[in-house]
Amino acid sequence: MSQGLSYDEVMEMLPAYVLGALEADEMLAIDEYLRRHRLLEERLQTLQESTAQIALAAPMATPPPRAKEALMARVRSEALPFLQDISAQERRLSINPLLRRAPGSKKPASPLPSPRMTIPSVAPSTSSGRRFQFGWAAAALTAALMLLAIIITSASYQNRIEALQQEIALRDRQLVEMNRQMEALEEQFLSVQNQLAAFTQPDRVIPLTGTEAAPEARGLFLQKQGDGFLFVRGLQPLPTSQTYQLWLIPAEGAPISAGLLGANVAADDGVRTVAIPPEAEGFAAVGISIEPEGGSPLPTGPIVALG
Amino acid sequence: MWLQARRSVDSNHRVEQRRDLDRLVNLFALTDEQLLEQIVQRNAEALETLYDRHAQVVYSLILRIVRNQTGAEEVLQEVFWQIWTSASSYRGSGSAAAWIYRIARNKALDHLRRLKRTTEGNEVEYLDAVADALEPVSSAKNFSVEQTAERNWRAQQVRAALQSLPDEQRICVELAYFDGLSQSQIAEVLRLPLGTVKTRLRLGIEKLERLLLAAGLRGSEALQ
Repeated sequence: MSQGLSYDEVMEMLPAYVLGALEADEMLAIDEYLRRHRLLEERLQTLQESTAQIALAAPMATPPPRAKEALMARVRSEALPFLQDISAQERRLSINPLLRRAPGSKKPASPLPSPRMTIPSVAPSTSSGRRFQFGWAAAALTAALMLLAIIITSASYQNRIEALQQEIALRDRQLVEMNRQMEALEEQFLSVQNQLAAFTQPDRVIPLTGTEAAPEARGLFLQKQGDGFLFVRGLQPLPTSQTYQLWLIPAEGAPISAGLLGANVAADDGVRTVAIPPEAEGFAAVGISIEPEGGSPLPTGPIVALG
Repeated sequence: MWLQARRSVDSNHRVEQRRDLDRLVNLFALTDEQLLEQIVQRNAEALETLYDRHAQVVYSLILRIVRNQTGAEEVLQEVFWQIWTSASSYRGSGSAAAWIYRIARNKALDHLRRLKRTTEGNEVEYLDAVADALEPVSSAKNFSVEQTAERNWRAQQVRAALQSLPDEQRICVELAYFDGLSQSQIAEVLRLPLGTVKTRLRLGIEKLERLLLAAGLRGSEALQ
C-alpha cells in the first residue's frame, strides 16, 4: 500500500499515525514508508514529543505509596541475586590471599575482616581522645564537602536556568518572527487563492484590446465578487512623469478610477489585483489611459486599451 | 573491646549513610536518560529516582485512560517494571520522558481494551478514583519543589493549549489519545464522515504543536 502513498499523504497521516489512530493496514503502510524515507524521522520525532505532552493534560493524581512499595520490593528482589553475585565476586577477591597479596610476598595470609569492618581500620587506634578528635574533623570535613557540593550543584542549576531563560527568550523572538512570516504567507496564500478562484470561476471575463494609441496592447480583466485581476501586455514604458491608470466605465456616468498601474506595466508579468470600488459595481467596460504622474480623477490622456 | 567494636559498627553505619546520601545526591543530578543507563546496570535506586520524577504524571495519565484506581495502580507498576526490565530498548531518539509516557499510554490502552471485553468502563468510578487520588502536588523525595512547580506550570500550559483548540478538534484528539480510538471509530462515535474526522484530528494536533511551541514548550525540553 505504501507504494501508492505520496509524501504529502504521509505527512497528512503522520499525526494520526503517532496517535495510533490509523487502521492497521494504514499503520503498516506508513511503517514501510518511514523505513524507506529516513528524512521523515525528524518530523516523526517532533510529533511524538508533542503528542507525549498531552499526558500532562490528564487531571493530576498522586499514586498511592503502596504502588511504589510493591514495585520496589519486586525490583529489589530481582536485583538482589545480581548484586549478590557481584558481592560474591568481590568477596572471593578479598578473601583469596593469592589475589589480595602482591606476588612474591612471604608474609602468611591472615583472615581478613569483612568489607564492613575494613573501613574504620584506617583510623588510628592510639587513644579514644584522638579518635574523638578525628571523628569531629571527619564530620566537619564531610559537612564542608557536602556544603560545597550543594553550592556547586545550585550554581550549576542556576546557570542552567539562566541559559534556558536566554534560550526561551531567543525562541520567543524567533517565534514572533515566524508568526510574522506565517501571517505574510497566509496573506499571500489568500491572495493566490482568490486569484485561483477568479481564474477558475470568474464572475466576468473582459478581454482588453489596444487602441490606435497602443495597437500592440492586449489584456484580460477578470472579476470575482469585489476583486478584479488584470493581465496586460504590450504597453510601452512611459516617462516617469506619466503613469497608466485603470478605469471602470459604468453604462452611464463618468469613468471611475480603479488605481494606478505605474509607468512600466510591461515590466511586470504578474497579475494586478485591484479592489473594485462599490460605486463601480456593475461597470460596463474597462479602460487604461495615460495620465500624469499621480493619476487623475477623470481620464485626461489617450485611452490605450479598452474592453 | 566491646565498646571499640560498637564504635567501629557506628562508624561503618555513618559511612554507609553518607554513601547512600551521596548516591542519592548523585542520582538526583542525573537526567532521565542517564538514569535509564543506570537502570540498565541494574541500579534499583535509579529506578526509584525515575519513579519519583514521573510516577505522578504516569499515574494520572493511566487513571485518565483506564478510569479505575485499582487498574491504574496495576498498570503503573507494569510500566515501571517494563522500564526496569527493558531500559536497554530505549534508543535515545527522543526524550526518555516521552518514551515513558508512550509505554504508559500503550499499557493503559491495552488494559482498557482487555477490560472492555469483559465490562464497560464506569465514569462514576473514574470520578471517584480521581477525587481520591487528587492531592496538592507534593514534592517527592527525588523531585525538588522547583521541579514540581515547573511541571505543574507545564501541565497547566498543556491543558490550556488543549482547551484552546476548537471543540470539534479537541474532542477528536482526546478520543484518539485518551480513549485509543481509531479515526474510523471516532467517526462512528461522533457520526461524522471519516474525512471530517481525519481533517479535525490532523488540524488539532498541528495546532496543538504550534500552541505548545508558542507557550515555550518544546517536546523534549518540556518533558524533562
